[in-house]
Parts: sequence; structure tokens; C-alpha cells
Amino acid sequence: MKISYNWLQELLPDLNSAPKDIAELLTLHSFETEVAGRLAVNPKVQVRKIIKLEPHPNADRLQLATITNGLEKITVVCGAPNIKIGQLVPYSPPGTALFDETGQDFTIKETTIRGVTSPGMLNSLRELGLHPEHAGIWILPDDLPLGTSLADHFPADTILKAEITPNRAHDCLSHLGIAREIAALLALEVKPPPLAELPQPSSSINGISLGDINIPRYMAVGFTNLVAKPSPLCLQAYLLASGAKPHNQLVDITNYVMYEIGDPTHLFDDQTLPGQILGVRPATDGEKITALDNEVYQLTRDDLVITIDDKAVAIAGIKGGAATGINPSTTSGLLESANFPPHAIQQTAGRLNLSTEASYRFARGLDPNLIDISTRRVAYLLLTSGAKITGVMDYYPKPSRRPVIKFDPNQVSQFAGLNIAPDQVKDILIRLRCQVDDTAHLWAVTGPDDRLDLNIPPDLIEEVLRVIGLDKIPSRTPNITAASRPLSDRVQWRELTRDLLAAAGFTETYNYSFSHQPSLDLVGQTLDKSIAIEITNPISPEQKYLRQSLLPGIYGHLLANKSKLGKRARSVEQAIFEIGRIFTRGDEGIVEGIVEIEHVAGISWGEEGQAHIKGTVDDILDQFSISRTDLSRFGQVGLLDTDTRLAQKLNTPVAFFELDFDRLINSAERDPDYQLTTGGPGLKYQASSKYPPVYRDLSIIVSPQVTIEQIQGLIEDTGKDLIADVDLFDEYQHQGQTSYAFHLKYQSPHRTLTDQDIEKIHHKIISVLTKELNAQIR
Amino acid sequence: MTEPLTEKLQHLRTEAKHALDKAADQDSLEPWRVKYLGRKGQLARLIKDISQLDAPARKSAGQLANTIKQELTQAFTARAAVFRDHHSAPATALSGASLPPASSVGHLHPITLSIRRIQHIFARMGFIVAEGPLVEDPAYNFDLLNIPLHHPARAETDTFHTASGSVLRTHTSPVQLRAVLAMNLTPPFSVISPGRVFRSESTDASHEHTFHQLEAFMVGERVTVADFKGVVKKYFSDFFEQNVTTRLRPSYFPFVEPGFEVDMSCIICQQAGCSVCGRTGWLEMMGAGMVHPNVLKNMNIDHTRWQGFAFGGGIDRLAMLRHHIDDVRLFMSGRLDFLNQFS
Ligand SMILES: [Zn+2]
Repeated sequence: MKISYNWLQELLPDLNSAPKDIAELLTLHSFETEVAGRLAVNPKVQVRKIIKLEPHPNADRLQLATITNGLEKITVVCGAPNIKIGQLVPYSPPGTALFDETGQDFTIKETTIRGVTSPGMLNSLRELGLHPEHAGIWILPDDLPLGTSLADHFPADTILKAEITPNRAHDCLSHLGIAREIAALLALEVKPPPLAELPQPSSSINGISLGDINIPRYMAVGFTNLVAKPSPLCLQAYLLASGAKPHNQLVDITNYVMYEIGDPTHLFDDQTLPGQILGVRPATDGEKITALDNEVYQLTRDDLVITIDDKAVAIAGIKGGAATGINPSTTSGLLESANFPPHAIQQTAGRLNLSTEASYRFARGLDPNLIDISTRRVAYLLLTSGAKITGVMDYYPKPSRRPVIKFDPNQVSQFAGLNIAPDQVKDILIRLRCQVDDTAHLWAVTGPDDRLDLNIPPDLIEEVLRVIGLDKIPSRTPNITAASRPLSDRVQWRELTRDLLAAAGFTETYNYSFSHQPSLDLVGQTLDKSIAIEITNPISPEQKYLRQSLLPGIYGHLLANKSKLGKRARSVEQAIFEIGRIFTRGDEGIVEGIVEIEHVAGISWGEEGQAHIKGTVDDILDQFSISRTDLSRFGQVGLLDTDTRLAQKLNTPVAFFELDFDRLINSAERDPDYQLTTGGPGLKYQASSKYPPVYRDLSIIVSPQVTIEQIQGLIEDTGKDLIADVDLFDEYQHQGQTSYAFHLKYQSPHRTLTDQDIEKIHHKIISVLTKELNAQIR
Repeated sequence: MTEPLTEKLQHLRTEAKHALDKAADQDSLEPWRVKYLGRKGQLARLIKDISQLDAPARKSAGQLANTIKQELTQAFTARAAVFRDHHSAPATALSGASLPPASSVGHLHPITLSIRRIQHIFARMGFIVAEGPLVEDPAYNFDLLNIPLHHPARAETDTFHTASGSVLRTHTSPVQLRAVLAMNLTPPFSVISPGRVFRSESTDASHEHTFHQLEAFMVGERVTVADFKGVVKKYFSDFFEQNVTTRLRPSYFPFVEPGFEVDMSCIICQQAGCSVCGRTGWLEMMGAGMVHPNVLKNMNIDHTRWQGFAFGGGIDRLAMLRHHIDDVRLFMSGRLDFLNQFS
């Protein structure tokens, strides 16, 4: 929620803290709050009056507006359709810094638009940096003095932004709530906003029809003598600071009160209402309503509508209807305010994708007693503007009361590990507007009406601790001893198996728990849909089932790396593995209907992959002291089908294994003996180069005294940062000499290497090897 | 080859350790690291040669090389810590460290390594490790954790649902309940549960729909917020091998009361302000709080006698900070140029 610092100062006359101190105070004691920015009008912007409008001679959609500051007049070009003669508008002379659609500022110059010179321009809210609204020129209130700087009437403000947690949404989605919070933390007094005294409920508003919908409270007030003119600038400034667009003073007052008190109300144009009886009912399936945003919403029986004589006039708690909205000719109105079921509002707002400031508040729950305050506050402001009340209705059959919490004040210390005296506890609770009866050992504490989150003793403990400050609680290392057997057999076996596989040359990979149809196709597997677990809201249609095998994912990962592999002719190119769960429907699992089985699987790619896999699986079985001949009980070992592999352009064989890890654990003939480790060094990941590598082979013949290390060292030293890898792939003795063959990987961290670059460095390496080692190049 | 590879490895081990013992100051550490552990260092060279051996020899040499790599790296880390403590310089000594790339010795996933590290830290503080199902009963994922159907916190959670009415667990918190109810734990106890969790959200450099969380849960007669602070400080300080500061802020999670957000002093900039911490000097690490009485009741624990704390935080984030990884999607990418950098 956006918070106006000026508004806080109005509610807290003794507030001395700067905005950034308020942000820090609230962050450490209440909820995350930051200073979001300033809201101010450029002092160069002036108040001017439109005295003449004529069409642009060369453009249909432009007008020439003649404006005056009371002394002199100028004519500017304007493209907005909403301006009329007699209106006051903001005018920026050339040289004024304004804002474009991306929020960047630009300085306007005198420009000629289709042959007419425009010395400056009239401004929208967006151009002034006050609001994203750009549909028209901002029409100012009539009473501003002509020719003055607009900034003189629009106080500069600082905007704070608070992330109100759901437990505080009942009381803190408002300036009054935030002011009360600050008052409690800093021991200040809140200056309460003035409220109107309403006449007794009368028969001039004719009743209410709620059916069996649970609406704890419903209030309505009729008004006449309404005028839909622009609001005073100070009120508009508060709305803009809150992120809302000003309309006219009638709509603005209801919005203002929502941002002030936290309780949304709605004002209908009385003359457009289709009858007398207010009501709330479920919409009928397919019922349509045009809302104030002029969008047509199709409703269902799960949505609630506000009705007059059973005709829908608003989507309850979310948005008013267009037909009954306040318009420029409104003179009488019906103000309504109610409590709607939070979950229903949440569902409808979500389904219609129509989250409004009102729905946001209703969906989180509001206290029915707030309705009286917000209604009287709106009435006060309307009466101040000259309106008259015609009648009042208040349906509140069962007034809401906060629970009395039986509270032992010593519990605060017991929870915190910090001694807090009962007097201090009491003082804090009173500052938080709680009623505290401390006559008995167990106190009787009642929270204020709007604190729907205060229900049980831990709620009060939290209040006391956060007001004192969580930083006051000391840090204490618990007096406990190391666990004698912290890891289950399963965890130990898993870690042992991981170590075994890593030592055997396998790299561990993690795959999603979702089956992925294209990966299944790659390995020629099909999913057994009769036992598959289906996700109803999958990431993609291809991933709508949970996996039944680890192999497709592992193989998919191998293929994803193909371009970087396969440049070698090693016996084993690459081996990867995963230990993870597969999922099927069944009755043997922990959760009803779901069976999760842990598997271990791996693949080895290369001429000796098959032997590698076979040897590794033997090692795994040995590890569990399970006989190697029992392999078939645990899973399978095999070679990927040649056609499938060739279709992926893999020319070397791919061998795989996949074993039921649960069964291995259950069949283990010995106990696991995994030792906890610190998980390796904290080395820094080096992001690989974005630029493509180039591979070259190099075969040389040297005397037997020359070592591989010498050769590799010279290659790397000569190639410097252009050599990404040197890989020996062949070595043999021939006529008393040794022949070595290397793959060289050239890659720059900074650019794409050209053929010329490669030639140059490759030749340099060759000449160094020839010179230093007397090598012959083959 | 004149000398068997395993002997070369043993010689290297002795020589490297001897050289490290002789390192007199911080400045002499980096040349040592480059010489022995660097990407083109002596150990890397020997490891490359392992691939030339036949299968049985390859396996034993591979295991030995892996052991030596771990030993030397740990010795280096310890030595670097000694110098760091003496000079109170920021912990940059490790930042340039890198180990041999792809070789015949395999690599463990950085999340695996982080979880091992977490297990090690918490086991020493008396915690046991529990695990639970990934496909959960909504009662365990939500209701029994005090998140009823119509609770806004539940509606706002982006949950994967299965056709049979289960959910993919959105946090590891259900394991609290599973551990207590299924393992018949009775207070006092301390449990951690690391594991995979799911949120139905679109992915970017800092969001994944599949990620990893650590849940910790400690219940006793007098387990307090002060104890929680002590455990968390030790956890992060041990994990990052530096003395971190933590900060609690009030927050809200339905299964705890009071609830906290836990911040850690930025380990990248030492609170000087950097892009990782958004120039605040603090990193948001996890949510926590004192276990809500309703949750204790749901575990059949007498909440008038027992109390405790619970916290849950991302493991991916820890690994990202520790290893300077800037994109969470790398963990599930299967990219070998990434995975092969860890061991
Ligand atoms: Zn930082």
C-alpha cells in the first residue's frame, strides 16, 4: 500500500520522524516499508484558464486552445478531447521538465505542429509525473488563482510503500491504520478524522433484501445537493499519492475515505437506480453487467451482485455498474457500505481478473464496525461540500465483538527468552488500543475492533515483542548435543551411492518431477497412463504427468549438452546420473492413492559405455552386499536402441541403468556407514563464455623423455586465455618416439574467434612446440 | 609411464600439503592454489591422465583423486580462514577458487552438496533429518498447518494440483507433521527436512517452479525466540564460513505466531551495499516463527507445556550465494559446463 507522508503528518500532528526513519521503524516493528519516491509538481507549471477553442486548420484531431493567466493570452496546440472553455488547466511553458510514457523526463520546447506554433502545452497527469493517466488534460478545481504556479497549491509529498501482511490487512490498509501503528510505536497521539452525526435510521430508504447470504452489516445513506465538480487539490493530492486517479469530488470522497479509513464504500447516482429495495444476491449463470470501467463482465452463480429491486447494479465488493455510476449531472446519490464474505470476493475478483482496491480489502476481511466510521466520514465530507442527507439505513442484526483473551503476561518472557516486566506488557497493549483487565493472575485482554488478528495469547505475545523490538531479544545457542544418529538409512544410502557414482565418473543432474513427452519419445518410452499421476494445472501440456522413469530426463540432459561433447574419442565421453523419485497411482504410498518410489539411474556415452555401466551397477550392488546375479530384481541395464540414438546423431553407443533404489535399501545386507561431510569447497561458479568454441586437433611426435604435462603446459601458456581446454585423445609408441594427439578447444571469453584468430594462435603453438620440444607435427 | 598414477597422486598429496603448511601469508595462498588445485594445476593434469587407464585402475585412481581434491580444498579453505581471521580482511580468498573441469571423476550437484553441508551443520546441533512425500495430501500441506481452504495465504499460493485432489507440496513444512506423526516423535526434538518443493509460477533468473527448501523445527519446554536466533546465526555463519549478523522482522505465516522474516548481513559486500542485496546490506533468507498452538495441537502435542520454533528457507538461494550463481534455472538445466564445476 502507498502511504502519503503529508497525510500521516496530518493524522499525527506531533510526528517528527523523516520518511526514511518511518520506513525503517515500520520495517523493523510492523511490516516491510520503503520510501518509494516523491510526488511533486514542477514549479514552472502554471494555472491557466481556457478562453477559446478552435479546430486546428491542418489536423482533425487537434485543437487550438487559447489560455490566459489573467493578464495575457497565448494559444497552444492540444490533442486531448476533454477540454472545454472556462476550465482551469495546467500549462507548461517551453523549458519545463515533463514525463513521457516510460516515466523518463524530457524538456518541452516550442514546437510547430502541422504548421501552427505551440509555445508550451497543456498537461495530463502522466506528463506531470503524478499518475499513469494520459487520456485527457487534468482539469483543475475552479477556485485556483489564475497565473500562479500549480506547485503552490499542490504540496510536495514523499510516498512510502508498505507490504501489508495478511494479518494486518484488516487494520493497516489505510492511512489511519498506519498512523495508529506509528502512534503505538512512538507513543504519539492520533488526531481522529471528523465524522458526521447521522440521523436515526429512517423509512425513507426502503429496506433490504439479503436472502440467505451472510452480510453482517449493511449501511446506506441518501444524499441530495450533490455536485460532481473537481475536488480540492489537497484531496486530489492525497488520492494521487495513494495511486488513485481523481474523478470528481463525489467519487473522490469515497475513494479518499477508503484510503483513509480502509473501508470501501460506493456512491450510486440516485436518479439512475431502477427502484427502491437494496439487496445482495448471487448472480445468475451468464448474467452480464457493464462495470464502471465500461467492460462487460459475465457472471456466474458464485458471484455476488448488489441489486436494486433485484436488478444488478454493482459487482459486490469489486466494482460499481456503469449505468448507476456518478456522472457530471448527478445531484442525488445513495451511499452504500457493507461487509461481503471475503472468500466470495476473492474468488470473483480472481475469476474476472478484476482486482480492485475494494476487492483487495474485502477479500482480506474487514470489521463490520468500520462501516459506521467510513459511512459517517463520507457523510462528513459530503455535508462539508454542501450536500444534505435524505435518509439512513443500518442493518446490523448481530453486532460484532472482539474475543476476550485470557493472558498470562509472563508468557511473553517465556516465549522470548528475554525478561519483560508485566507493567511494560500492559503499557504496550494499551498503546495498541487493547483493553486490559489485570486484576486477576490471568489478564483479560480485548483487542480493538479492527484488529481481527488478535485472538489467542501468542497473538498478544507477538504484539509486545515487535513493539519492544525483535532486536532486543538476545541470541542464545541452544544447549543441545550432536544427534547420535541424525541420518536415516535411506539418506545415508543415497549419499553413499552418490559418492560411488561420482567416483566412477558420473556427474549428478537433477530433472523435473514432471514427465516430458518429447524426452519419452527420445528414448522410445511410453508413460503408463493407467497409473499416471496427472497435474490439472501443468506448466505445459507436455508435462502434465509425473515421471515414471528417470531415464528420459537424463538422456534429455545428455542431448542438451551434445554440442559441447562428442569432440573426443574417449572410451567414455560422458556419464551422468540422477537419484530421484518416480510417481504412480496405487495404495502402498504414504499419501492416499499415490506411490512414490526412489530410483537411481545413469547413462554412459562412449565406446566403453556398456562396460562402464555394467561395472558401476556391480559396484552399486556390492555396496549393498546384494548378489550381482540378483540385478533383474532391481531394474535394468541396457543399450539405447541404435536407431533411436542415430536419429539424435549420436554415433557412439549410449548405455544406461535404472534401479529401484527403495528396493535396494530394503534388500541391503549391511548397514550404511555414511560420514557427514561439509559439502565441498565454496568455490565460485565461472559462467561459461557466451561465444562459440572452435575445436582443432593437434598430433605431434616427441621423444619419450617429453611428458604430457610439458606439452600441455606449453600449449596452455602459449594459447593464454584463448585455450579453453586441452584434451589428450590418443597416444602410441612408434619407432622409439611417442605420438600424442590432442583436441584443442579455442574460445574467447570476450568475442567470437575468427578463422584468422585460430590460424594465428594454432601456428604459434605449433612453432613453440617445435622449437622447445623438438616436436614433429604429423 | 614410469610411475603408476596412484603413486603420482600420493606424491602430489604429500608435496601439496607440505607446501601449504609453509605458506606464510595470504599472498602465498593463491599461487599454491593455482599450482595444485587450479584448472590447469598439477592435480588437474593427473586427473586427465586417469581417463587413459583401464577400467579397474581407473576407478581406484578416480576415487583417490577425488579424495585428494577434497582434502586439499578443505586444507586450503582452513588455511585461508586462518589468514582471514588474522587480517580481518573480507573473505575474498575463495572467490577465485576453481577446480578441475570435466574429467573422469564425476561431480555432485551443487544442491546435493549444499544439503550435505546443511546436514553436517544441523546434526552437530542435535537435529535429525526427516523426509516426506513430494505429492502431498492438502490436509498436510495446508489445513493442519493452520491454512484453511478459504485462507488468503492458501489462495495466493501457486499450487500444482493433481487430478485425484493431491497437491505437489509447496513447502517442506508438511514434513514437520509427517515426522512427528509418522516417526512418533515426542518432545523435546529437533528436526530438519531438506527437499524439493513446487510452485506453479513462470521461471526466470530468480524463479523456478521446482526448487529446494530447508524446514527446521525445534520443540521443547523452553525453546525460545532467543534459541531460534542462536540456531540461525550458527547455521548461516557455518554455511558461509564467516561470522554473519542476522535480523528479524515481523512477518506473517499462518503456521507460526509470532512470525518473522529473517535477514542475513550481505556476505557478498559485507553490508557495504551491492547489487545482490539491493544496496541494503541485508539479504532476505527465510520465514520463521514460534510454532502456532493449532499446529502443535494437530501434532497431538500439548501446547500448554511445549513450545518451539520452525523456519523454512530456500536451499537454492544458499547455494547461489555460496557459489556466486546468478541464475536459479541452472540447477535444473543439466548443463554440464555448470555441473562439472562442483564437487
Ligand atoms: Zn551486498
